[in-house]
Amino acid sequence: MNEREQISALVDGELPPAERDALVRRMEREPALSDTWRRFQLGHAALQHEAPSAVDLSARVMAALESEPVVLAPRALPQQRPLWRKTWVRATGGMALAASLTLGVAMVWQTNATPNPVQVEIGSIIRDGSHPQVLVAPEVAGNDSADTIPQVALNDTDRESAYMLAHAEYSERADDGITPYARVAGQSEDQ
Amino acid sequence: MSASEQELDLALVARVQQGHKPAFDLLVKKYQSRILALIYRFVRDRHEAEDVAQETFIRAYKALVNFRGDAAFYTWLYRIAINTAKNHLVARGRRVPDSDVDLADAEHFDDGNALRDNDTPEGGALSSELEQAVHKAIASLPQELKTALMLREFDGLSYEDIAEIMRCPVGTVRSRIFRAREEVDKQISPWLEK
Repeated sequence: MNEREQISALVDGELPPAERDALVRRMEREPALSDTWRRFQLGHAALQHEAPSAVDLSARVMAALESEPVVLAPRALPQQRPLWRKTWVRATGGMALAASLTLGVAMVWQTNATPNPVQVEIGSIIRDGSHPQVLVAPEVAGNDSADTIPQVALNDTDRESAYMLAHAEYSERADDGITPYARVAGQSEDQ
Repeated sequence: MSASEQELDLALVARVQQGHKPAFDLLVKKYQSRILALIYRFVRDRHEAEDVAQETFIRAYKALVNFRGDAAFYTWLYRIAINTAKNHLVARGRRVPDSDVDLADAEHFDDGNALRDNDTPEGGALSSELEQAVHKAIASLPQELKTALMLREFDGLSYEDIAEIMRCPVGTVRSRIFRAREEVDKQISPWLEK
């Protein structure tokens, strides 16, 4: 079977895969064979009433592809949820952040409280009208100096921080932990 | 379109995806008549249709890396052609035909019904002449060549089925169909050189 006969069989999809692949490689290299492919396709189109056109666009198309730097688009990857969107990551991340912050606050508190620690219970925040109020226990036992007792150490900003931390779990974006609040607080500090 | 023809398309697509650009030339040669006729139904101008068809193939080439074979290659190409033709019309402020051409045509084509349209880029004349030349060539063929080619082209039978009907080896069927095609090719040569 010569190449042209092989091409005829290829038009009909009647070549075994190995033979088909070998012929395709030859047609890619030899213009005479690819032209036979085109002509047989044209005859096939005429018999199928597929409006055969004598116009050969292939030369124009391939010339256009050669002349412009074609960058093939990267294959689209299946959509993956970002790591931070996964529920368990958000939950544990939020808890870890909250724990770190609590630990940090506690350490700062301890440092400031020495040598006259004041027992401040962050959780014991109640509303007084529309304003949050922090209950501070004026524990003075063992103080070396009464002047250092920080009974008014919590200014308005500190009160707000304590309130927001304590109520973060009830916010709409509780899943995000205290991150939104920390972000806002950080911006406020920058300003 | 037979499964083996679709397999060939996928094999050619795989070659292109592997970086063998000439394999795309073979796909263009295979489908250019159908795509040109399809686009002509939108733009109604031969030269415009050629330009839009060229753009269609270039777009297809660029997007081919994302072709996964979920649909037949021709269905995929058909969609690109329709979108390119519609974009072409919109860009020129021309009306896009509502229901003249639809994706359903491509689906029908995949079901085995060829896209049939007498509106051709040549305005019907040359295409019609080509078809007449092909049919004239077939009519003048020796009976065994004519039967083999008609069973293949009109009835879509496999070589094996034709061999059974004609009571001859598959190799003989392949040879007869090839010789018939050679005769047809001789008859259409004058139109190809116009």
